[in-house]
Amino acid sequence: MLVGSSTSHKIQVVTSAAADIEVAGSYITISTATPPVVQGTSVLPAILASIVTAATTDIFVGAASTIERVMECSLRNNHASTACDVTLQRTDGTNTDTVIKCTLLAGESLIYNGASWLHYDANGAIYPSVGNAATQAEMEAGTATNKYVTPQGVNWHPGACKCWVVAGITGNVLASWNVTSLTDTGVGILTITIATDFSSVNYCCLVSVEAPATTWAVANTRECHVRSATLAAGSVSVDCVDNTATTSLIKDPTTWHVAMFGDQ
Amino acid sequence: MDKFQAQTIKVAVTCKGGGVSIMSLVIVGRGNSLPSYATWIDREKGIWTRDVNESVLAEEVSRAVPDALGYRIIDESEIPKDRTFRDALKDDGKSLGYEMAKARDIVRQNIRHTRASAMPLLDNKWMRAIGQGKKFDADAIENDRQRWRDAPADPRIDSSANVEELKPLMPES
Repeated sequence: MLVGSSTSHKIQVVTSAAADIEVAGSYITISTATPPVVQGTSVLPAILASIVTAATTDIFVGAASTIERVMECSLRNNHASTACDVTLQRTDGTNTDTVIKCTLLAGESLIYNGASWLHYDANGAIYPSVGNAATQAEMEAGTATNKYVTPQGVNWHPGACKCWVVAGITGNVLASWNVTSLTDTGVGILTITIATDFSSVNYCCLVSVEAPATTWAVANTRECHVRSATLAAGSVSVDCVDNTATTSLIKDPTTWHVAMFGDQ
Repeated sequence: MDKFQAQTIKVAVTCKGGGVSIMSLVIVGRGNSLPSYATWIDREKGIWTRDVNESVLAEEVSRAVPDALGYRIIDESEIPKDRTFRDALKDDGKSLGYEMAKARDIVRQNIRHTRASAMPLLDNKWMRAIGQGKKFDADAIENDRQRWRDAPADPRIDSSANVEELKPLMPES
């Protein structure tokens, strides 16, 4: 990144809030002579005082008969809590163009490494490109090949399980995801209430149970179902019977296992 | 995933017809979005919590038990561990107990259900005994069949004062 040979040529930072933006950088000054000469006395790093207001601050300022090459530059939001928009801009005194703009949360940094700008989070990790995060619609379509998936986005994919629970026969929750309550409605019947409802009653509910024994007397076998006419967008009941003749008897399993897939 | 354990409270919900549903209401749960009245404890891990108040209870009961007549927060120790007469539970507003008429019906229903499996076997035995001319054996088998026919009308069912007296009358499955 170059700064032209005039005091009107500047690289500036525009801050939007009363945070604590620490700015530093280093540059090489080269004369405009032929051949150009590196100015050995003008290579000191720029270390600015903390910017604690919304303001426009000069970082690098040109000088007559010289060209400055910015080797690296860092901006860090040293504030404990206040976020701040930072805009890097170049001006020649007449035109001002934005180089890059981002929001620095507390502890975050924007760094120019001589070739590109990188946004780091408070832990020093590089932000991925927000623009390439798959949207809910893209996740639900499941066809994009040029988007990355965020943890939130996983939940939107039609192949992801939206709600699951492992429960005991008293409706005690052993493990769950997206469940707000379990109701022991009676022997062999469990009602699951879903935290984030499905968009309709047309979702897939899978139910299985742990059998009470490994021997297969008909009284030990267990057959489980989505209970008739109980599928609702926000809840579903499941039931369990044995295989005794002539009418199966509704019975508790050892544990319930329920998982649901569909659109929310 | 780390060892997250949902936290719940128990709610006894009285339904139309007098039955009781026992709800485990999640007050610390996990998911990708917040349920009603919940706030995040750890957004990154998806762990939320919500207070136990009338709004939460009313909404959750209406979703889980549409025919609820009333509800009461209970301690887990109130819930009988023996589920033999689970479908006869009732709530008088202070404690969980049993509706004895329903409990007796449970005994009779189980007797009839077990009898439905037992009788065909006895029928086969009786026919074999008759076919083999073993009248003594056939009479004994017939006595067994008659006991099964009479079992639902066992007077001890009606005279049982509580479920502890009823339980021995339940047939072995």
